[in-house]
Amino acid sequence: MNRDTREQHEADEAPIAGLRDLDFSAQPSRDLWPGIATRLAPRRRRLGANGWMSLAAAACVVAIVGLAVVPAPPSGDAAPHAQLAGIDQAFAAPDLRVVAGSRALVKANLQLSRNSEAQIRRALEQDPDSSSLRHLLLTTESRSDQLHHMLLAQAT
Amino acid sequence: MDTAYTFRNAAGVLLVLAGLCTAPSGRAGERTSINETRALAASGKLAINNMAGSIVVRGWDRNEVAITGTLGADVEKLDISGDANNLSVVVRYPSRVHGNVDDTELELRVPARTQLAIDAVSADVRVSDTSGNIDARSVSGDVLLTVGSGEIKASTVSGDLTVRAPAYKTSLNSVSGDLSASGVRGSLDADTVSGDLSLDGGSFSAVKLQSVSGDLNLKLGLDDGGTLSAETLSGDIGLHLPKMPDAKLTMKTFSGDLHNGFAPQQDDDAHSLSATLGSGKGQIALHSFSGDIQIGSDSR
Repeated sequence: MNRDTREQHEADEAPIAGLRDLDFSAQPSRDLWPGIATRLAPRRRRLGANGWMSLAAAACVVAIVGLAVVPAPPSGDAAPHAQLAGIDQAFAAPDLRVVAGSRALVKANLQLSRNSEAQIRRALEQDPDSSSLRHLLLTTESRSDQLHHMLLAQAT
Repeated sequence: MDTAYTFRNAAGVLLVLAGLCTAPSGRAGERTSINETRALAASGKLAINNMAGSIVVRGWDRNEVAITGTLGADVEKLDISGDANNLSVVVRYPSRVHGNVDDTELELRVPARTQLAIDAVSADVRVSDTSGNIDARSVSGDVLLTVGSGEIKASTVSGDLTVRAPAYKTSLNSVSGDLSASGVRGSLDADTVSGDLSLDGGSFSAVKLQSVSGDLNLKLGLDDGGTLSAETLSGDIGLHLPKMPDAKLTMKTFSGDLHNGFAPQQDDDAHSLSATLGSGKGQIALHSFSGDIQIGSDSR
């Protein structure tokens, strides 16, 4: 691990140091998809700090595995915005390394988006003819891809 | 003025002579006041990039950009480049700086019709009194646009996004932040994953809204022949119209409840409803897998 990567890793890990002892391999003790005929139980509410940290911890595990199998993008300017010449140029990916916790936050939101995709797919199993669920899945997959690319842009 | 500061100014003069324009930079451990002015055409383009802190933009009637505020202690420089038609203001950090940078507070006065591209990570963004098109993006910072712009495109990851504008073409999205738009009209495309969406506007020709688990609270009017589609997985959908619309209405939920305020007589067990309201010229499609859907007359 080079110095930059190590520093980034440390910066990402710092906010969730207290969660390192959690056992992420533990399996749910029961079926987490009950009562689909009545309601999707998990409703969105703004996550508190503990919620984000939990999501971030899970996201880190996913990201570490993901980055191990996805090739890094071609090396380029360490700060993509340094190439910003004007408004006509498409936005480059934001430099998440600069702000502490921002990578962990994006990872947590990526995990949230991936979980939402999984929920939509399970809903599609119940209602396979729903075109609106398919639209929703495409949009959510697109959002996940954007977050993934945002993370990869700094995975040098 | 100490020697180091003088040296930086001298270096700045050299960069200007070389065709670059670089503002004084902050010294390590010390915040630096900003006071810069550049010419910008009335309908010029301005790109602003500040990762942490705040970006406050206000329009005025001069053809110039005035930049004030405070650079964070670890900022390498405030990079101002471009010309009077296309200007860029970027807060740059040394490549060695990772994590926990000091906030930079940027305040800009810009020609009222400036077209803005704003980019932030944790910085909050506030824009007011401008009327040019806006493209704003933040990761965790909140974005508030109180403007007269015709076209707005804005996104966040977790920050809340609020738009108050008579925009005729609007595109908004967030993952976990809440979206709120008022005064917008024409066409609107908005989506969230878990954020709530609140909309008060119209009249619209085309509205397309999506949320996985966020609720959609909509108060709007539709143009003659206008279309509205709203889709959620588990979020509730509440649609309030000023009067009965002229539209073909479809409402469908797999496990939620439906309520059509324009046709009180309905089957309580129904999970799908189709009706022609008025002339039926437009189209309203409200779909949710497990959320409740309600449509009715707005009491405003």
